[in-house]
Amino acid sequence: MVTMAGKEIFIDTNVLIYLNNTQHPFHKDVLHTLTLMQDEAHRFIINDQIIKEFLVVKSNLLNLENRFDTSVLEADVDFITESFIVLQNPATILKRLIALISKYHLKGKVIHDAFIAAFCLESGINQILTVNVKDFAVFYDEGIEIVALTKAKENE
Amino acid sequence: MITIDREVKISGRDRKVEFDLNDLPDGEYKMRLVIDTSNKISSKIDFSAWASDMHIPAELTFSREKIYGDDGR
Repeated sequence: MVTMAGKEIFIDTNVLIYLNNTQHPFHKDVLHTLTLMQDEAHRFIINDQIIKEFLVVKSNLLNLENRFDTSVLEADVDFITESFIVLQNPATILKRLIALISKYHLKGKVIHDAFIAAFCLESGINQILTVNVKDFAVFYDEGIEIVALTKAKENE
Repeated sequence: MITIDREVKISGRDRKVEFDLNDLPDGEYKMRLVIDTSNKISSKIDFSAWASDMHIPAELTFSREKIYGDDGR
């Protein structure tokens, strides 16, 4: 639960995917949570990894429906970069990533999550908004608060 | 003295602002830029404006493990 106003919070890829897809059951909760946080003057941070992962999922979904269109992807990227603050990777991120891998004995795909954690730690961001809270649970001891969605009211 | 009075939007990666000084005679000038941060015109993002009508099965969830289902290769 978010208690401090005006903080920077990192937005995970799944939040963008559900925000963009009105038909999904998580859409209303994502929209509600971001709106609440915006009212509390939170600053929404992402990095290039989030945009890349969004494009992976969105292009696949468009392709599955035989609606692949690069202009749709271009419009998506425009909205994302206009609405969220895109920070570049800090120069020290790989050193922190290796430290996390070593400390928690990380292997395989979880290193993609670790890269996000390393990005946040080296950028001074200590909150991550995600639908998959368990993905980042291992990094809780690093001082990263994993923020879950706030449930929208039935009539929203 | 030239006064430039305009509204600018700083958003996402779009953080550069251009001014057309075409009418200013050649020369070296001292330029002072003051931005009134206490008078933001609007900073609200309309998240509901970004939506697609794709049908995603309700049971489908997206985790990074699925996005990198092939170990990222």
